[in-house]
Amino acid sequence: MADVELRGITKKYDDVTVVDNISLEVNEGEFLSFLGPSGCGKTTTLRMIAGFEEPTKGSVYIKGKLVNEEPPYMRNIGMVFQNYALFPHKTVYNNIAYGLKMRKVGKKEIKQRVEESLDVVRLSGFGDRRPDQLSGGQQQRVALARALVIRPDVLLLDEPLSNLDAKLRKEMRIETKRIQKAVGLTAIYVTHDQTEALAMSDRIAIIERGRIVQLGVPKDIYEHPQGSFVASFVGESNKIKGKIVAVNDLEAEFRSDTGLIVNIKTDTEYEVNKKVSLYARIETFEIFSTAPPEAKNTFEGKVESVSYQGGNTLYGVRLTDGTAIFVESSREKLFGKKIQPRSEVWVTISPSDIIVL
Amino acid sequence: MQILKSKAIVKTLVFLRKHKNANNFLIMLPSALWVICFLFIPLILIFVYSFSTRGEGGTIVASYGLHNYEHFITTSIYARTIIKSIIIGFEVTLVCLIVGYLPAYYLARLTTTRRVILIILLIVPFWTSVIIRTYSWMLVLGNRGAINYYLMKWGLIQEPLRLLFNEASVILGLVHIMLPFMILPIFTCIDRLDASLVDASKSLGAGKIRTFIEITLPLSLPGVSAGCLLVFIISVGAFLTPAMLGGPKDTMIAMLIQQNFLMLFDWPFGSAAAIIYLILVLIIVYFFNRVIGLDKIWSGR
Repeated sequence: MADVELRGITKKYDDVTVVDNISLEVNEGEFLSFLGPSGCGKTTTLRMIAGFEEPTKGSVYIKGKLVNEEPPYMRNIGMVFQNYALFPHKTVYNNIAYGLKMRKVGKKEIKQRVEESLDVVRLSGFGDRRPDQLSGGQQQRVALARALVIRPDVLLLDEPLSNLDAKLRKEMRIETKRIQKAVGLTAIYVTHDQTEALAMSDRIAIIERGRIVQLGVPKDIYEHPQGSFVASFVGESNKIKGKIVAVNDLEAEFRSDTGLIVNIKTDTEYEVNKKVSLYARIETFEIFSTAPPEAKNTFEGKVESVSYQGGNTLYGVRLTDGTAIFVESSREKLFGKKIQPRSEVWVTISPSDIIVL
Repeated sequence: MQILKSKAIVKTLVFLRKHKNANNFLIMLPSALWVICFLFIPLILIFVYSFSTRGEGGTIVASYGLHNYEHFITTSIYARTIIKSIIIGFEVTLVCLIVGYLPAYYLARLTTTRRVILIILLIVPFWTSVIIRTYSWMLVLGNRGAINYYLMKWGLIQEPLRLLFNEASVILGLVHIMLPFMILPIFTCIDRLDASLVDASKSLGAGKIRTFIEITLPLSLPGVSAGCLLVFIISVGAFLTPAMLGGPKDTMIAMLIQQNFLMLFDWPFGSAAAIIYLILVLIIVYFFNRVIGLDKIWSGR
């Protein structure tokens, strides 16, 4: 049985449709992300599951029970907010105990369960602190403990890591996921950060303008995006427009509008003359400073920009036909020559790495 | 002459660029001068006068001692006046808090346009003078005022009720004038509260009333405290309203001070009364802050 089920939920503000007919099932123990740009309706969907917003149409089920009419405090949900929303006038202990007090749990049990959840988020001994005495990461963990301690039917997380700095965000990604798995909770996670969604989720729902445009496991979303929105939103790609000029079984030849010939290999069959767009991820290219051994999809070009990023370097390359692409590489084939702006380079890409839409 | 002047200006500008601190000093100078000339120096004068002696025809004789203070403390009517002022101050504060909290809460939950309209309505009375606003109560509460007129017309009473010139009418008039000073700080405080705190409370199983008691109310206390302090300080020193709406028994300290200065020409004694009033208010404010001070509100216990 699905822990959370959405059936055709729609949210309209006046004439503006923010969430448009979303249906979805979240399985028990699953970590599901809503991924999309800001304003796509992902937070509104989450707030409808929580009960802060009422759907204009459609129904929300939690543990098989229709909860449309129930206010948030009647639904057994745990929610972590973007700014944590810790009560500033209560200690960490009282913040976490709050939900248990509302549930009229006995004092002794409250103490035991609060201590337990402080332990789970690795903050034992912080009970007497006030929220403003904690760092951002600690506050985030208190917010998580506060949501977990009530043993909710589902854990709802609204961009909980977006206020943290890059390094801490990576740590908390792993930590949040660890805790979710340890407790065995169903979680719905809202984010606009694709790396976060890819790293943490069991499944991802990509939302664009209030609709789910693709629902699948992270690997599928990344490698087989359905539609140009997903292809350009998840990962960084070079987009090349053109048409298929020759087909041979599952391999095909593509010619761009500017005359660039690209070999592609896909699991769908294409017709000759079909207009398509190619998406080539920046990290699937290899870059060479001298001509590499003869292979399919070797393109010559000139470097226009070099941007060093530590582990990787991002090159802007103008191919001989005029197509501008970006190539990210950590292991450029230098052969003694340094790649600089205006250097002559060769880039290669395997036909199977190219996404055709 | 013109050249000399412009030279002086250039010199000043160069000087200012070199001395940033001097710049800050100059920015503060007008307000500092204002406070020094019209608050600090008069206060010192009053303080000095309070130890002097009243001479013939209201002159001030430089014969210093504590006799004015002695007179104030040993004459029961003065002590009663000041106690009465403080009691009225507390009563006005309490009524303002009870009457003002819900409107402030309501205001903070409104959408922007409606809220702006209501705030303007709240502030508009400030554009009319206190005298007019107080006088309007006389038209409402007087023997031939609106209330008595209708009660008698409908035959509910034979004789007009004495609604004016008592403590209740003073408090009514003061609450009317002071209410915005209570509503605005509370409103600002609730308005600044993070809406997600209320959502968080609800997600944890607290209903609307529990959420208000556990979250909104304690977090609005800084606003309550600021509002109470403002209302209390201003209403203890109220002069016009008790003078117009109060009876002889409702003399407040500001009236007493005014009488001594302008009617009895006893500046030394008036000064002593003013200093005693000032010290008492400072003491009360100090304890008020210790009881409902900010530290206490944030500690959460």
